[in-house]
Amino acid sequence: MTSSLKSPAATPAALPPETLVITGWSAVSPHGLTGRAFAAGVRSGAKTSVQPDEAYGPLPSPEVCLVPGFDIKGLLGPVGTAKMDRLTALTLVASDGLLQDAEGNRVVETDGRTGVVLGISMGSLENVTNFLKQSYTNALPFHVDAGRIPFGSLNHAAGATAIRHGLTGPNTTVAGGRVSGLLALNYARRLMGQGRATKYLVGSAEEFSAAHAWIEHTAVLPGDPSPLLGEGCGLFVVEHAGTAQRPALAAVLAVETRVDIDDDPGTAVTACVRRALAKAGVTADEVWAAVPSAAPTAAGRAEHEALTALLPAEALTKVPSMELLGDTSAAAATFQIQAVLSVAEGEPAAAGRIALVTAVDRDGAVGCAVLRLLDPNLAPNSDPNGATA
Amino acid sequence: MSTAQSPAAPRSGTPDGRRRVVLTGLGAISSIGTGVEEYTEGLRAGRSGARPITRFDTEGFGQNIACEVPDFEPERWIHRVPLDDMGRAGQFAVAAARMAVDDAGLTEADLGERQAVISVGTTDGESHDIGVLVEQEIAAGDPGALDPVLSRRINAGRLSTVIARELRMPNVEPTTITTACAAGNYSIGYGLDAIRSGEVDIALCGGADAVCRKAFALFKRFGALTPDVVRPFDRNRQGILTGEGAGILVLESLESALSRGAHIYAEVLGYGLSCDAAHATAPNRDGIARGIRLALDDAGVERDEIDFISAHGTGTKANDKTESAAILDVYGDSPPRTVAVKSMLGHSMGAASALGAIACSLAIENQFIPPTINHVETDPDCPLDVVPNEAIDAEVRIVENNSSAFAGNNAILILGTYGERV
Amino acid sequence: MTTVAPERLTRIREIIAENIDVHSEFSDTALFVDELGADSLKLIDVLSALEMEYSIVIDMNELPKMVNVETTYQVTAAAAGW
Repeated sequence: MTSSLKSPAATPAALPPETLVITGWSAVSPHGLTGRAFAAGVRSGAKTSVQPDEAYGPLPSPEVCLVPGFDIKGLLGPVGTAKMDRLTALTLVASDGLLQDAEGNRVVETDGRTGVVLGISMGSLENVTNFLKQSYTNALPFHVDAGRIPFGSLNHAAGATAIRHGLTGPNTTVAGGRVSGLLALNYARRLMGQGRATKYLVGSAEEFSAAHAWIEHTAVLPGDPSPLLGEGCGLFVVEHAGTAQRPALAAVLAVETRVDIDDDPGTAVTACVRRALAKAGVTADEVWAAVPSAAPTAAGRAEHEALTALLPAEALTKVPSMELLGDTSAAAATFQIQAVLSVAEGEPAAAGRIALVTAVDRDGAVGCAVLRLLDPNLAPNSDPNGATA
Repeated sequence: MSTAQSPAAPRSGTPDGRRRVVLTGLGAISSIGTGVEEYTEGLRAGRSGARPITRFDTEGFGQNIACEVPDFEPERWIHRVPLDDMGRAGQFAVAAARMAVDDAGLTEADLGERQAVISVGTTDGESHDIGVLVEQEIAAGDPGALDPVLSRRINAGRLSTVIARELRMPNVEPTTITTACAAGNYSIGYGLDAIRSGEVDIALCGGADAVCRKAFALFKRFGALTPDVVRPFDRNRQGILTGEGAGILVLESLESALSRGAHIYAEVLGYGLSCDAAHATAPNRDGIARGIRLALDDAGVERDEIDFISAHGTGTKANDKTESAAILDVYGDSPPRTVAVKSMLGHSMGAASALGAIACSLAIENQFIPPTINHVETDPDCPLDVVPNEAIDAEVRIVENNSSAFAGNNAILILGTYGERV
Repeated sequence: MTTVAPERLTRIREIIAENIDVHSEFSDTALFVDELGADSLKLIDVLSALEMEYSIVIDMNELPKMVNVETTYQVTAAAAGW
């Protein structure tokens, strides 16, 4: 199958103009604060787990995959950050990395029809549980820190991103745990398809907190281990191929989702992947790289088995396991796509090839995205160095 | 069922070839009535859902009124999924979805493998359960002393997936939308786009929320909780009452609805989304006005075609003044009648605009305009005909349903008569 | 008017600075809204923080009186019975 010639499909210009393409991305992850750090970390297969600071108090697990050096005030300045939740801060730092260069100059154009859609699990559990603790334990039940209230709204991070960058287009938050990154991507695809936005900032985010850790720990199903948790935010710029202002890194050929209604995640993943491949118009044999969510659950194992049965064996070894980032919950599916892009960036043979990402969530959602990896150097005005933050 | 109406006049601006989307089933759980019949009666009668809170301890708050759903019987509607698999918001969502598909005359065999969107909007999801978990931790002095049953069901994504499980619909996109108090309209809009795109023929959309301490303490802290009743657009309004419930609507492509001879309540003509990008919690006149204009454009509807506006109308000083100004910005000196169903329902958060959309559908179906109750004196800052206190019979063809939320999220929905009604 | 207790005034200044998000020096007569850029919601943040600090309740109707450090101290002192 390997050819020294570039496949025509690797050329962004060969795509139908309405094809959704990824033209930039950023990641704030356990590998570091930037897309560059993420890409380097993924390619090296670096371990990210650390012993958390004692300030977290007692935790159910000795290690966690935290974003290193994530000092909110240092990164975002003193104004408006004193009471900011970590989820919002992760998202804002990722949005800066997406839209700006290292000097803070805007490198992605936006306008009144630039949308934002962010996938989450349940927002900042630290914020909401602290709010409720105050309500239960203070002298009066409304003795709660009013300044923290706005950050407890599930749509705050996406709204704050809009405020920070002046984005007045459709602004949406979707919830779906590990599948939320794919739900967000599909949301952006749909709304752009209906002409509601010309460009989207799309991604997903999860924060680590003691509250999140204990809830995840107690939610574990019998037989599953207590999860090694991760956190972070991954964002993309997506545009239509015909109007893209920046070189396309990948085309989104299909995003399919499904619900496992029979407690049989393997069958649900299989059905979802088959449908996604069919919609993308590619065969399972064509899949060059596949990245499952690697959730530390029976569903995660079933997901892996389903992909193993469906896809070429080497596709599942192209990208190091997402386990290295910990269970990043809502951030996971976005990080999975970014991991493929990171590996592809270092492999010229990847251009034109098919990548597939799957996700399974505790609540029963299952998702699959099929992408065609593109060679951004083939695009007009290509600036591969500017493509990742 | 209402009498046959003349076909709707062609509306300008509707792109040729765009798929039409209609509402064929409604499921409502509210503090003023459950099911289409009771909910319609409640709206017509101007019933108030305000009652003493039973869901959490209100000691120390100095007030204890909310618009709870009384006597909710989840087992009437939820047959398959164990009730413990979801919190009260999830039970509302599933029950309303069951009601909506029953109302639409869709059997499980009809749904089955059909590709569909299930999109539930919510503000707080199962935050009541999160409150219980926090209580458990405090009581035990141990952060690990949490009930696993609750820990597993708190994520908002479950509100949509649990409907798929109950209705045995595996082939669905389960997109829970958490755009706070505008989430219901967002979800209906998403269903509209999914059907317009041609990718699905059916979508179950709406919103659900349950009364919880979080919302009550939050609005109390903001000084936005009325001590007695909700008086939207009134000079002496004092704030909201928190509320709860669910509204789920069956959205269907017109061809699918016609092919199975379904009853059509209304047509989903369009919607608009705008983001203020200005303030984390304050409503924004320009953002709301822009959302209204986007919705009218999407629907291909002229301003003078709107028969009434179902306002966001929370009853806070800030919202009602700002929303009124935005409405006047768009409509000029003679705006349509503008009513606030939150005067009856309280603020049911993520369910609010879904219940508002159902109210609009029922107004079209039954040719009446629901009232704004508790109204004494219209605020000069809100110079609107709010249809005070008594519903009126009226010719209702096209209706606008407003919603706004923290984080500057505005979603405006336009519904209209499906003219070729059989 | 009550006697101003210096340590309380210092603490109230800190609470105000934190809650209206001001990161430079300001006088006790500087107006929160007109000079320090606070909006009405920031004033609620101040009120709620003062309530929690001193386990008191300040009537929301007092908010319009809380225009600077000086008047905020007075409102707090009255609510706390200092």
